[in-house]
Amino acid sequence: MSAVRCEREDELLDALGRGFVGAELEAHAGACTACSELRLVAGALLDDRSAAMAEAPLPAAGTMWWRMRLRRRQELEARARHTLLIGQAMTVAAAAALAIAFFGADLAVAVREIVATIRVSTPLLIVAAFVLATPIAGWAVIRQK
Amino acid sequence: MIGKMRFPLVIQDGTIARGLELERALSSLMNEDEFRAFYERTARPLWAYLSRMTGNRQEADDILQEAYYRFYRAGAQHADETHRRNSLFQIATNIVRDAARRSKRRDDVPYDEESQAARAPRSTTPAPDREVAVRTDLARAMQQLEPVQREMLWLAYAQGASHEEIAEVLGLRPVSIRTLLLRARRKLAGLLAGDAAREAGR
Repeated sequence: MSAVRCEREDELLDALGRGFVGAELEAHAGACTACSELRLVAGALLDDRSAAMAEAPLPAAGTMWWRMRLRRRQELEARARHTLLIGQAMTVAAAAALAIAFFGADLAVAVREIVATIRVSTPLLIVAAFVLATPIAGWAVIRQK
Repeated sequence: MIGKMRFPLVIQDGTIARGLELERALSSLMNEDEFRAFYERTARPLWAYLSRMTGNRQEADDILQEAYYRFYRAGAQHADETHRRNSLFQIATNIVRDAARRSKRRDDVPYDEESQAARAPRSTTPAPDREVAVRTDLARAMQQLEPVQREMLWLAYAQGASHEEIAEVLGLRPVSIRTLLLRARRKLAGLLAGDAAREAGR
C-alpha cells in the first residue's frame, strides 16, 4: 500500500463525518489506495465513536460541579491545616531552642538534682510519660477527625 | 456581608481570614455556568475516547472525573474553546498513560473488549450482526496497535482533530504527526482488511 497522501482525503473525511459520501467521491475512494484505506479506518472509528457516545454513562454537570468544588475545598483545607501544623511545630521548636540557649546549663543541673533527689524508678517514668502523652494523643485524634 | 462569608469557619482552629482566603482561591477558578457548558460539550466525546483507550468502562468513568477535576483545579486561561478542549484531552491522556504504567494493564486489557462484551447481551435494541462484527474487528485490530497509535488514530479520525491539535494533546512534535499517522492508519487498515478477508474465507 502507498503511504502517499491523497489530496481528496480531507473531503472524504468530511463526507464520512457527515455520514454521506457522494457517488463521485465513492468511485474515487474505490480506485485510490489512500482514500480506500482512509474510508476503512475512519469509517470504523466514526461508527465506534457514535456507539461509545450513545452509551456514555455520564454524571450530570451539576453533580460533577458539586463534587469538584467539594474536593477542591477539602484539598485547600487540608493544605491550610498542614501549613498551620508546620507553623506550630516551628514555634515550639524555636521556643525550646531559646529556652535551652538561655537556661540550658541551669536546667541540666536542676534536672540532674531532681532525678538524684527523687531517684525515679522506671515504672514511675513510664506512668509519667503515659500521663503526659495521653492528652497529646487525644488532641491529635480530635484534630484528625 | 454574611453572604460574602460563605466559608468563615472552614478550618476548625482557623480564623475568618483563612475562610476568605479559601473562598478567594475557589473563586479564581472556572465558574459554574462556564463549567456546565464546557462539560455538556466535551463529556461525551471524552468518555468515548477514554473508554476506547482504556478498554474499561469503569476506568473511563474514573478518569473522566479525575480529568475534569485536574482541569478545573489548574484554573488555566485558554485562548479559545479548541485550546481548552485540547487541554482537557491532554490531561485525560496523561492520566490514562499514568494508570497504564502503574497497573501494566494497558497491554493486557484489549481495546474496548470489556464494553464490547458487556454491550452485546445487555442491549435492548441489538445492532445488526454486520455492525457488531465490524466493531469486534476494530476492537481486535486496535488491540494490536501501540497505545500512541490508538490515541492518534482516534483523535484524527473519530474526533476530527488537526495534526497540530493531535500534537498538542499527545505531546508530540507537529511535524512528526503526518508520518506517524499514516503509518498507524496503514497498520490498522491492514489489520481490518485481514480480518475482513478471514471473515469472507469462512
